[in-house]
Amino acid sequence: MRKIIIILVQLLYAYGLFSQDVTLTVDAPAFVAVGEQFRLSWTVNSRSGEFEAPEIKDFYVLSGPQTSFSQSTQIINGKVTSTISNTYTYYLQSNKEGKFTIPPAKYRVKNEDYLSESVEIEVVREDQAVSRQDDTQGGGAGGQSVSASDLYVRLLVNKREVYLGEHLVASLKIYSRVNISGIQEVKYPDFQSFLKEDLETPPLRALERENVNGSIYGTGILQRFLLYPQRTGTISIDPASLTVLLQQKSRSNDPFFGDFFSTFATVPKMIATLPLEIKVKPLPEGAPEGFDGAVGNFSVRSELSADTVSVNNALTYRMILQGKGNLKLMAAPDLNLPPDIEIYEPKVNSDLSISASGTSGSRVFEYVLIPRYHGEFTIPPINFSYFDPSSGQYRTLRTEEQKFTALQGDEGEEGTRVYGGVSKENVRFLGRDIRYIKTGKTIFRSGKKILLKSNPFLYSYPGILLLFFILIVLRREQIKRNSDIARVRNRKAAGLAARRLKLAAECLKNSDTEGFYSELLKALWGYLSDKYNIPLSELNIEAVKSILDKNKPDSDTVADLHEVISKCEYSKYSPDSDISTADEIYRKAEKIIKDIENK
Amino acid sequence: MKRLILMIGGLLIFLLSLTAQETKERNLLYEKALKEYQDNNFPEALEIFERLIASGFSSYKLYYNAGNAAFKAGDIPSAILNYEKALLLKPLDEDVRYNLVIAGTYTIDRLEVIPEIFFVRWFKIFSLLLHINVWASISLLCFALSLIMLTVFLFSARYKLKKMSFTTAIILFFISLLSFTLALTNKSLTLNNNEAIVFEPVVTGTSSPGTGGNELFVIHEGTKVEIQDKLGEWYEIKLSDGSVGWVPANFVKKIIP
Repeated sequence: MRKIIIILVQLLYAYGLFSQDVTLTVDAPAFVAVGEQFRLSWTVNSRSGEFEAPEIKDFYVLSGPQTSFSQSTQIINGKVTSTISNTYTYYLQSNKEGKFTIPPAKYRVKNEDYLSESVEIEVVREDQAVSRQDDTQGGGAGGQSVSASDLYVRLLVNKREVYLGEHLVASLKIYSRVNISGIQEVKYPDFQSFLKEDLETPPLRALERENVNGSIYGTGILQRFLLYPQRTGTISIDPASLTVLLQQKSRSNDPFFGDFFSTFATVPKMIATLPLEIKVKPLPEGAPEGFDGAVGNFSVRSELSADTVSVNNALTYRMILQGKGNLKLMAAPDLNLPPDIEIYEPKVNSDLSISASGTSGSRVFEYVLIPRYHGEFTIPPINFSYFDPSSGQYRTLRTEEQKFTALQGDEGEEGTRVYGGVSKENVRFLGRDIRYIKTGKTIFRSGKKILLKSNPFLYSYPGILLLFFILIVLRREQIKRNSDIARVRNRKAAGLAARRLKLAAECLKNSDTEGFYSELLKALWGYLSDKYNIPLSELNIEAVKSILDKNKPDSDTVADLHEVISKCEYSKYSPDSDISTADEIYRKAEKIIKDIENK
Repeated sequence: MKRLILMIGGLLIFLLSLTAQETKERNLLYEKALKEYQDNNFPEALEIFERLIASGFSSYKLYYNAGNAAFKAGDIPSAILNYEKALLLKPLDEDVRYNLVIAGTYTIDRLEVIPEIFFVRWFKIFSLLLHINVWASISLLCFALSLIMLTVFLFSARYKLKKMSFTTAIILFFISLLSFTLALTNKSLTLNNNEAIVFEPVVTGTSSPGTGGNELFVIHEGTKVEIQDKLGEWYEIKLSDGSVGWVPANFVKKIIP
């Protein structure tokens, strides 16, 4: 029973292995010295295939292939993971100086070939022409001291001169030609005036071999940093220090067994980097408007979720900033939108990865827009300016202009309108409508002739006024003329009266009393009429009296006049009037005229 | 000579019949528009009304009905424009005023209207009660009569007649002056009217003509503005709350074009 279970489990494993991807990796040192023996191994995570090694021409194969197999099974929280590693190892010796390539190895599983990568090995002629093992052995035999050229640590930067805001990569790297058993108390510099990001660095397990000025060193990067300078000028980085545990063979040599039982002692040694100076250049003059300190290399674009939306419905506007540089510091730009679009605080999504080439990725600013009124709306382009350190120039990018149409919603939606900013209380006329049209005929007026504008109209005012003045002038002339006539009549009144009196006198001579009186009256009335310019029709004794009273003659004259006139009128129609009274009246009339004239 | 008279006579008859024909056609068109409105074909009715207005003839009923058709067709700015035109011809018509208020509730902008002093408003309304030509005629007639009365005063010798004619002359002269002022007011309200209605859904007023100015305010369709100045294709407008800004000329329509 138990056996069956084990078989089943193994079968399951086998199944699991088949389903796994087959990977073939190669492991070889990058640098070897001439005559050095080294190991070349291929590892595959499968057992069921056939391994075929490439032809190794440039090296002398000391032994191999040696195969080793290991399998490990892990059960973590009930999850079973199993790893298999099948290793084929060759021991080689380099004979010639130069760069050699070992072609890929092949691993065949069920007619399918998996290839490893080819590997390049550089063979150098070392000055001391000693292998590492020899060196340590010799060092161990020689003494405790390890020279500064055998073990040192460096803070390496990829740039010594950067612009403000431009990134640089600093890596703490250890170089060693001696055996190291461990590293302790690493004290990193505090990188003042820099914004520091730790780059993910794989933990240092084994030192890589590297050719440094013709010597082979074991090197390893302890930590890498991404640095953004925060101020201009020369910034010095304090040294980093660490303690290295060296493996040193004790001095006492066993006389019998030689090196075989030699004891090793672990010796701590403190080493430090040299101080480093970084020159931070200020950004050049002439930054474009809206420059916000972005340094790097970017691209920008904009997106709109829809180009047609009904009023009060939301749509999303995205501004996408992509590239390398100090993206993390970028603030959301202002959208210059008409107030009829309600806009909410942008949501910022950053998808950034930090690598030796700086921060890269994208930063998305997502705006939610709600048009509150129908119409055509334009989201104007956003200008984004940045400084490109590789060309040393400012660049300005523009997003595309986005347009959208807000459609008028249906009646129900209109009712829920909320206007921001320019809102006004919606006066609700429920059940009210405009009044009906006015039916029936109408008179069309062509509004072309405007009296007020026409010259004849405007000239008619002064025309009428002129006419009026002409009339006045004419009237004046007439009055003047009339007054002249009166004057003449006045002047000639006495003469006319005298002539009439003469006529009356002749009548008296002929004993025509009736004619006498009528002539006398005519003479008197005519005289008075002419003298005072009163029309005969309006003349009577009262009028004459009032005029004479005004002129203030002697009271006798008025009394006489009254007497004469009344006597004349009485005698005129009475046949028995005598001549003597007529004579007296005649004289009296003469006297009256004379009195008035002399006054 | 005879032929000349005949020709002139014929021409006169022809012209008269032509105008008669035009009047008839116009009336027919107007009736057709009314019919369309009654059949709830508002856009068609509006189209005919606008054609009639464009032909240069005016009538307050035509404007009122065109306003109604525009309102029913959903064109609020056109409705307001036509009601305003109707109100200039008949300022006291209650229906026009009522519909203008209703149409006004469909506009977006609420602006503080600085009210005119009551007698100025009354004077303006009074000036609109009669046509400008009527006011002008009254003014001229009263002026002439006033001078005639003055002449009578100067010529007559009788005291009573003199007194009466002088008083009448003074009164007539003042009537003439008043109606001339009313004619001028009417002219400023109708012919020199510089008010306009916003026709674009959203208009941004800027501090200077052209696209370079700062944005000052946003107004919406149907709002009444006063045009103060014109520069190229831009109007300087004044809102009823006193704000002044520039807008593209084709975004607004003048009440009196």
